[in-house]
Amino acid sequence: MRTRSRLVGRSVAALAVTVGLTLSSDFMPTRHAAAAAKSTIYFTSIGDVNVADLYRNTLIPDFNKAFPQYTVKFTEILHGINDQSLVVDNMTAAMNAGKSSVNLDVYEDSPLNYVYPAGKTFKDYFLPLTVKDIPNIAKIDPKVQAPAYGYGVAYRASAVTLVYNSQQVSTPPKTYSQLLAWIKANPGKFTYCSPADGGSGDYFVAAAIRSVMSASDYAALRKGYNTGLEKHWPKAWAILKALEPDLYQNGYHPSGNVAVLNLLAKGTISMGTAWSDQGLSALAKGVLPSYMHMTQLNPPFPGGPAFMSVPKLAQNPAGAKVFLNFILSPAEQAKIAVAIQGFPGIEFKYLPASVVKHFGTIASGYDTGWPGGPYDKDLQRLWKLNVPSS
Amino acid sequence: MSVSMATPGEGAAARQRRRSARLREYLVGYSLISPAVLLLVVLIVYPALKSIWDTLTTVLVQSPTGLVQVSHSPSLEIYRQLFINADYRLDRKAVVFTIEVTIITLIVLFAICYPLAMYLRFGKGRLPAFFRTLSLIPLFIPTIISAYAFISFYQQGNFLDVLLQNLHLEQTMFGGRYPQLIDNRTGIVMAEVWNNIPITVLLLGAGLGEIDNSLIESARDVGAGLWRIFAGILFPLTLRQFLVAFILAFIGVMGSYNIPALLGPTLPQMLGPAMNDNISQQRLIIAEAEAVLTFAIAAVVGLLYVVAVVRQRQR
Repeated sequence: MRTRSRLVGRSVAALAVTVGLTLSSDFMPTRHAAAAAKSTIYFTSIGDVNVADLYRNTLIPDFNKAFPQYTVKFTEILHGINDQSLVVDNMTAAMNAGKSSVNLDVYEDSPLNYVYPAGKTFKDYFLPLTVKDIPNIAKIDPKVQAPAYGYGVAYRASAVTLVYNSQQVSTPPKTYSQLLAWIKANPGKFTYCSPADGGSGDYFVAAAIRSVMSASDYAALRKGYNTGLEKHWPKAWAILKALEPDLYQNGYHPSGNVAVLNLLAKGTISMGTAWSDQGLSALAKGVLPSYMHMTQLNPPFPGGPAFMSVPKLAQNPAGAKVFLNFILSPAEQAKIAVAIQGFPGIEFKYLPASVVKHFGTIASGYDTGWPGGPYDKDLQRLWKLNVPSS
Repeated sequence: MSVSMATPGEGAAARQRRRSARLREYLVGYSLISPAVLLLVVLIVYPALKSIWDTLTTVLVQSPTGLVQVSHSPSLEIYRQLFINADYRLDRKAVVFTIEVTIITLIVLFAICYPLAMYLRFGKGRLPAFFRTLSLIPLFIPTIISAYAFISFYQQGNFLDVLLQNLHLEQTMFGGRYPQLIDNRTGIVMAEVWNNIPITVLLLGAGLGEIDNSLIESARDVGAGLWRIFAGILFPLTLRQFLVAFILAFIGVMGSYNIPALLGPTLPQMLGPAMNDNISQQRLIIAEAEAVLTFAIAAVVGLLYVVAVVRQRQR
């Protein structure tokens, strides 16, 4: 999730270091020394530490076992700091210098998250990825796959969910309006983080915006930036403003996703919004007590997939596609679900029942309609101007 | 300039020798400090000047693709916008709130630190030594850690809340409601004061240490009370140290980020978190304008110090 990785990155900006790790030496297969010429796949990730660990410890070793003819060279741009210049601007420089390839075959992000020089688009920088090249794409829900316009594959996802204390709440709300009613009936027992500080607050606010927009207007948000579509947003501000006195400490918004989880863990609040993966990890580690339950509303809160893409200048596009297809295989997807508590990129029906059961009611899905980008910036700016009392 | 004046009867060659020796000294001296100066220029002077220039030549406008920065000929437009445009209402409030918090913090800080430093200076026995060590502890604790310590001590559901509940004070004295001290202005002031105690006590203690005991004894002999001794002797003689401590604390509090971000209210924000929000909102020029305002306030305070020190030297 870009929203979150950027935020995590900000909070540890002092660690703004690019960690480049070449793991090739670990994966030199000894048994197949006589095999055909090896080819290298350069893979760069912008994920958080947990995502990088998933690659180093699980997915890349698995891939090497299955495909010993490839060597994966893994680089991590921690928290994606300065990714624009390290990836896209570098490719621009390579193109301008007339180079035919760069040492980047698989990039862990959607091409749509970057800015390209005037007159160019992501289509000039990345390869389209189709079912023909990567058969496992067929297993991904088209709605989940849609935001990358065919230029990325959704290989994992997370969504905002509702976390509640089952000792204090016996019947959790099922819809957004029931949630609002619950908050008013239980003053001081709910809060969400400032939207600019964490996606769990951002998407709680996005759900309020969705509730005041017509379905067609909401769908149109995906088609590009148009401030005209924001004309009904003030209604959402009014709803949220009216909610403030009934929030924790009469309208205190913690700074960040984790701060909300801490309030939940202490029993200070009984309900809050949280990222599915962060909530599940906290439960697995015992940071959140086991009586904290996670559920999803109907319609669900927004969520989002993380994408992988292949640059046009990739020096080994064929290898990159083999790698992506492998990551999308049900066995590896199940490992992602277990290792980082992330939703799989492919549909749940392809996963073992035990993995699906683990996610429980939150496996019902998430809203893929919230567009992020400039709309998200407007959401954060306007929320701050209109909602909290100052 | 008496140094450069040649003594009568001295030869031209000797003068020449002295001059070249001095030139060499200059060169060595400047080359030794040049890395520090260069670092200062690259990391502080250049970015500061660039920020000032940017804020004079750029404004933020709404375009069909979102907010964009537009260049124009030098003017104070962005500052005018900052002070009248409704979009920047919260940024204006951040400036006011920052100054407000800083002033309150400084008043509380010196109200605590002067008596404390005097106690540590004039107290006898083991207890003052123990308190001296205790008062230095915050110096060794990073603000991010002390901020989280404040949260786990003061936030609802944590130590103080549980303690008050178990002592039945919350029910009897506060009507069953925990009077939370953090996540508001009080929280910022408490943590900022806590963090600034060591350096302030050290500086005031150094000043008080230079004062001769006989001075105070003779004042006592002629019947001066505690307040008279403080106002007439101790404060004037530690004015320099007071000003240094004042400026360090003022600039430190005004520019702080961790404490207001973690212990402050959702709104109003202090300038540190406000600038950070503006950067993440891609409203860079607003953050830069706020940074320039921060420089300006810090520079005015720094100037007060320089003036005060120069005056004291002239006396």
